Amino acid sequence: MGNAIEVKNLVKRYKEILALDHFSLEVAEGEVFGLLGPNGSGKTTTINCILSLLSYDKGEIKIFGKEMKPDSYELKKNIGVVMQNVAVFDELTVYENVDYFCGLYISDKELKKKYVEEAIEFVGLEDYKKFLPKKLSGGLLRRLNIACGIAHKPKLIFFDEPTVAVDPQSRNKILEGIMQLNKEGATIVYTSHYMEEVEQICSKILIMDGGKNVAIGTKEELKKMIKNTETITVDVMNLTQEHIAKIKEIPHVYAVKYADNQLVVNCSGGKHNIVRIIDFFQNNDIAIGRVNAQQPTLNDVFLEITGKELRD
Amino acid sequence: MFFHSLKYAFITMLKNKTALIWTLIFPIALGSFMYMAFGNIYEDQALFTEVPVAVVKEKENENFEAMLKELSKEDDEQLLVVNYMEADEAKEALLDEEVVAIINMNEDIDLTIASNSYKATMVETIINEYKKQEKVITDIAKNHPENLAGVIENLADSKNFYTEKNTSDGNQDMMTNYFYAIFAMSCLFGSFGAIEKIGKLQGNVSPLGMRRCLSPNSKMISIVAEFISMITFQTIVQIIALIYFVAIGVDFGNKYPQMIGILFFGSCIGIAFGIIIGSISKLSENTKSGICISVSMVIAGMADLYANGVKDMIEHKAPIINRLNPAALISDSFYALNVYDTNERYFGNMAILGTMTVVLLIVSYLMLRRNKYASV
Ligand SMILES: Nc1ncnc2c1ncn2[C@@H]1O[C@H](COP(=O)(O)OP(=O)(O)OP(=O)(O)O)[C@@H](O)[C@H]1O
Ligand SMILES: [Mg+2]
Repeated sequence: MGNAIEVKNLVKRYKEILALDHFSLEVAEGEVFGLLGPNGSGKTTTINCILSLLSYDKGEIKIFGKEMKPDSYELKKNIGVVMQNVAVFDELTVYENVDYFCGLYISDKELKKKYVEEAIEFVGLEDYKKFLPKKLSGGLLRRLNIACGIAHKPKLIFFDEPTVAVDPQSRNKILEGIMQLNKEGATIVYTSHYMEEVEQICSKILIMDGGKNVAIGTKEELKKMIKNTETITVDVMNLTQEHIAKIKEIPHVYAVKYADNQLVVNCSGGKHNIVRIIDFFQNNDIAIGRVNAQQPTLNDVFLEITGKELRD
Repeated sequence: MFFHSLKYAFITMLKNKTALIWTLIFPIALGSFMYMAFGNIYEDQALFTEVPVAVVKEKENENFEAMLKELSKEDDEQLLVVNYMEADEAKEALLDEEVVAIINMNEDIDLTIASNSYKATMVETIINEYKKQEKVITDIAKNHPENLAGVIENLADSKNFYTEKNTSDGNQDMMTNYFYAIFAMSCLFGSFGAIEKIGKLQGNVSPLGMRRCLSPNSKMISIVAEFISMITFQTIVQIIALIYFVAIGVDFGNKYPQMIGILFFGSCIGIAFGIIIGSISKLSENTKSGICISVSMVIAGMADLYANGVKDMIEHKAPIINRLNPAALISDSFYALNVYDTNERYFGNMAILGTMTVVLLIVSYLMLRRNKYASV
C-alpha cells in the first residue's frame, strides 16, 4: 500500500515564531499514526498545513500521492477532520449539524440520510438528535464534533486532540470509535499530548518538539531507543546520602532520585531489578512502603531525548 | 450543493432568534420613539405657506404668465406668490431667502433655486410640468383660445400639486425625513449579521469556518447562499417595519413597490458592507463590529438621522458625498419617490446602490480567496 500522506521539509513561520522547522512525515495507508508532542510543539500547525488551511513557507505536501492545494476538491472529498476546537453551528440541532456537513460531500439524498444516521449512531447520539449543541455536555459535544467530521466516510481522518476536556468514559468511547474507523479501512492521524492515548491506539508514533521531528517508530521501537528500561519507585522514609550512594552501585541502576520520601530508581537492562532493590532494603533493615516497577513510557522517551517532561 | 448550502443558510438565519429579534426591534423601536416624540406636532394641521418666487420677464410668454396667475390666485389652493423683478433684484432676493426660486422667462423657462427644499422642488415640478404641456397649451391658445383658461386651471389643479401641498407640511417633512433615515440606518445595520456570517466562513476566524474550508466546494457557493439568505431576510424585516410605520400613521406616499425596491437595494448595500468588513482577516470580530457601528452611525447622521439639514448642507458643499453615501441615497430615494413625478432620480439612486453592492462583493470575494492561502 502507498502513502496516505507525505510531508517533506515543511517550514512554517508565524512572524518571529518558527512553528515548523524542516518537518517531514510519512503516513502509510491503513495506519493509525500518532503525532505526540507537548503544547505548542506544532501538531495543529502541521495538520493545518497538510490540509491547506495555512500557507507555509517551504516544503512539499502530498496526499494519496497528489499535491494538496486549497482547491484540491477531489482530495478533500476523501478527507475528514475532527478539530481541536468544536466546530458546529450553535443554531442547528445535532441531526442538522451532521446533515449539513455530510451534505457538503454527499449530494445523493438517500445516501446522505443513511450516512448521517450511521454517524450519529456511531458516536452514540441517537437520543440527542433534536438537541441543540448548547444543551449537550462537553463529552457529548465532542462526539458531535466527531460525527460532523466523519459522516461522509472519508478514507483519511485527522483527529486533533479530540479528547481534550473529556471525561474518561467518553474518552474511551472516542478511542474505541477511532479504532473502529481504522478497522473499516480509514487511515488515521491522531494528535495528542496524552501519551497513554497514543500508546493505546497508534500503530506508529512520531514525537515532535519545537516544530521538529524528535523520534519516530512503533511504541516498542521508540522505547528501545532509550537507555531506561525500568523505573522503580519505592515509598521509604529517612534515607541517608550513604544509602542512596549504595543503591546507585546496584547493577543496572543508572540514576537515583530521592524526594518527598519517594525513591525513584532508573534501570537500564537486566532482569529482576526490583528484587535486588528490595533485597537491599531488607539487608539494611529499612522498612519500606509501596513498591512499584514501571516499563518505560513515551514520557521517558521524550524526557531522555529532549531533557524535558512531555507534560508540565 | 448550492441548494443544500442555501437551505442551511436560511435555517441558521431563522434559528438565530436573538439576531432575528434585534434586527426587527431596532427600526420599530426607534420609529415608535420618533413617532411619539413628533406625534403631537404631527397631529396639528400646520398651515401650508405659499411659495414666494421671483419672476424675471425677459420675453413675453402669455400662456406661462396665465398659469402663474392661476397658481398665485389668492384662495385655498394658492401655491405661489409671484414677484416680478429685475435679474439683479431677483438674485439678491434669492440670497436673502425672500424667494425660494427665480423663474427666468426668456427663450425658454429657466429655473434657479437656492436649496433642495421641498418648496424649491415643488416649483421645479411646476415648471417641468408646464414645459411638458407647453406645446399642448400653445396649440390650444392658437386654435381654441376659449378653452385655455380651463386647461391652465386643470394643469394647476393637477393632482401632483396637491400632493406637493400635502407633503410640504413643514413638520411632517421633518418627521418623514427621520423615518427615511431610520430605514437607512436599519439597512446599514444589516452589516452586523453579515460580519458574523462571513466569520463563520473563514478558516482563520472560526473553527466552523475552518471546517467549511475543508469541504470539497468553492467558497463562492457558500458566499452566494449566505448573501441571498441575508438579503431576503433583511428586506422582509424592513418591509415589516414599513408596514408597521404605515399602520401607526406615518405617510410615505403610495409608491409601495418602489419603496420595497429601496429597502431591497438598501439591504444589499448594508450586507455587502458587512461582508467586506468581515473579510478583512487582520481585524478582530469586535473591531469589525465597531467599524460597522461607527460608520453606520456617522453616515446615517450625514443623512439627517439626528438632525435635519445636515444632508442639505452637504448637498451645498460637496454633493458628491451625498451621491456616494448609501444612507443619503436611501433616504433621498424615498424623498425622490414622493416629490418627483418621474422615477429618474429614484432609478439613478438604485443604480448607484446596486453598483456599489456588486463592487463590494467582488472585492470581498477576492479578499476571502486570498485568505485561504494567507498565513493566519
Ligand atoms: N495563529 C498563530 N499566530 C502566531 N503563533 C501561532 C499561531 N498558532 C500557533 N502559533 C504558535 O506556533 C507554535 C505551534 O503551535 P501549535 O498550535 O501548532 O501547537 P500544538 O502542538 O497544536 O499545541 P497544543 O497541544 O496546545 O494544541 C506555538 O509556539 C504557537 O504559539
Ligand atoms: Mg493543537
